[in-house]
Amino acid sequence: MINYTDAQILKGILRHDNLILQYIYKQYYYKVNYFIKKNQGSEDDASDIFQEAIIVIYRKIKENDLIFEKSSFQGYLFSVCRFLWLKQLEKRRIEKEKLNDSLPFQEDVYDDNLVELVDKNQKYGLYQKHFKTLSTDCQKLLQMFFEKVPLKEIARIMGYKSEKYAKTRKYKCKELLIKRIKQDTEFKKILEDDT
Amino acid sequence: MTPKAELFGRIEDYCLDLLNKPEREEFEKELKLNPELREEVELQMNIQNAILEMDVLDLKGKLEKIQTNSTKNGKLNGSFELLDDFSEFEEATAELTPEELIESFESLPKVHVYQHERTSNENIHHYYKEQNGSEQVVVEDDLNGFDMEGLEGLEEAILETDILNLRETLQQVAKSVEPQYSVEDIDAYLEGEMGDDILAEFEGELSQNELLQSEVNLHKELEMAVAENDVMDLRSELRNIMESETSWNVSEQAIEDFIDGVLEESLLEEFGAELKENTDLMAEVALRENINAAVSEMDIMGLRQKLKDARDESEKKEVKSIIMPRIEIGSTKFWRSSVAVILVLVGLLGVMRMNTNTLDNSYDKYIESSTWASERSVDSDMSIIQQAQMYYQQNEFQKTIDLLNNVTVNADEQFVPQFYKGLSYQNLNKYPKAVTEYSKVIDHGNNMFIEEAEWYKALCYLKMNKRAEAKKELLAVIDRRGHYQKDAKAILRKLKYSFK
Repeated sequence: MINYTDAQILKGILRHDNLILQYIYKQYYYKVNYFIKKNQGSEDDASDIFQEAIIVIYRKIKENDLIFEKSSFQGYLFSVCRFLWLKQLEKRRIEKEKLNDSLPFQEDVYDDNLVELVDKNQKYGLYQKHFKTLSTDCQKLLQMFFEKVPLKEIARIMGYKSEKYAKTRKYKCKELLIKRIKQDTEFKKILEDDT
Repeated sequence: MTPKAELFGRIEDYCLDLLNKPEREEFEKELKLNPELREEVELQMNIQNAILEMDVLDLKGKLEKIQTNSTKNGKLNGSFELLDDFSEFEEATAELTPEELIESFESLPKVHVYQHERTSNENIHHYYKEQNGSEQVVVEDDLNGFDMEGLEGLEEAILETDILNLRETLQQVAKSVEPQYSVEDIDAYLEGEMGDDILAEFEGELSQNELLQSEVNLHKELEMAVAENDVMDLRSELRNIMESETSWNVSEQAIEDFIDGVLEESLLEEFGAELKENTDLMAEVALRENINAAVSEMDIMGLRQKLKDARDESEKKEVKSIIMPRIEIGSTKFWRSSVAVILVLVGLLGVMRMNTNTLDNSYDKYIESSTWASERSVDSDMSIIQQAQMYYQQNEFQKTIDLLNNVTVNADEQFVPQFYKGLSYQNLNKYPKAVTEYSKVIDHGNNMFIEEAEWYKALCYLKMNKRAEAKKELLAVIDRRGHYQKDAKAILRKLKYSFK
């Protein structure tokens, strides 16, 4: 198998390069899986954590905030996975002290910036999860509104008779989305954490 | 109907065992029939039992006395006299070090109590005084011959179900009440479209109302989250990869070599390290080892074949069956009562050896002839179908094909003879012709043979060494998530590296 450098991996994540993503999965997933299963998690937990860790790294790269001087991609990925799993354990009120640390991690990765980013990712991830449960029409409509597409244009694209109707539809969609988010117990936990 | 007061009197008498025998019997009869009365009696009993806990009440009384005495003695501080000598502690502000403080006798509890004293002007610290005051009265009343009057309020409170219900309803209402501002209002505010008259009011509310603040924040964040198309795409790409790709970091060849014990020394250590932690890889190695073991069990396969023959003889077959729905075409009723096709692939993956010769040998060795269920019939040309079935069961595949070529069925029913012609051609090793027939069945698009046709078509392609085509069909089988899904996945996995 080809080995990629850290720089190539970061570039690949930024471009959503399928080959690089596959490489990351094959190269590192099983270690994360092993770590999480050893620490009271399941296969599903492992894949969620791995996926969200890559998304966190992607957000970091987008913000030009990821340079490996002392560390490496592998070390950073494992550290983020570990951090995300610790957060989960905390949420599930499971003792973290007895952690079976099979992943090599770097303590210096855990700065305020990462904590903030992880929180944001968790919150946005939840919103996006519910957004994806809306009908395709609702998704399209809301996205166009948020992208500031003119109302007239939205009504034309969506085949609505009037701009007023487009606006009413948008409120309905948004209302539904907000309702679903608020009903999610995960959201309630996030609110509790914020206060 | 018994007046309520009288009823309560009787309940009380019953509980206190004051009823005479006939009264008691009558009461017990009624008790059996009336659930409300039962509830009432149970409540009374519980109250009575609570009152009769003499030891608890005695203890309470004694504690009360001690507390009253200590209150009379001076201050009511609830500090168990820990503060009695606190006057000597007054200088403990700046001069004393924490160590000195800790070393002094009972200093920690004293410091704790001192803090209580200091904060005793807060409402929460007055609360216990109020409680003490009111409790004193209640306890005194209670101790006074355990008068029921003291508990009358309690009884009434418990019986106020209407108030309890109202309280519950109010809580529900509070939970479900709509926010003061609608999604529309908040959107109008965020988009700067709110009228001046409402805007001032809204902003005033926003500056003070935390709920509204979090509502507005949610709207803002939502807008940003929904605009993150790239993140959502990346997430779904990752999900796809994780669902479709194997999670091990070693090649298929390495796995085979490891099982065969011929993996190079240089790779062996790395392989072993991953195998220790990677549960998916462990499962894959175990699966392949099992397949190899099963394929080499020639004696078991022979026995299985004999058992199957015996089963066929007695026409009691456990088979994969596909029951077609009843189709009415014009006036002709087309009955598909059942079709049973057995194409038992023993040691299926033996077929998938990498070189063509091995593949041919394995196919011949492990594929069995399909059989046709006896009760199949087609109204439109029943006799021919039955005859074809007979030929098929006698392994007269060419005759089956010839007959099916002449069967008259409507255009919409063609898939039935087509499927069996496909099977017959396959049995005659005429794979391209079988593929043609299966393709017709698949192209029909709406019949219950499609999955089987795709599966057998894939096997024919494998036999013809057309692996890309076989892969396509196997993927179609997997997509259907049907009976052959697992087998198809196993074959794909096995052949994966040869497809690249």
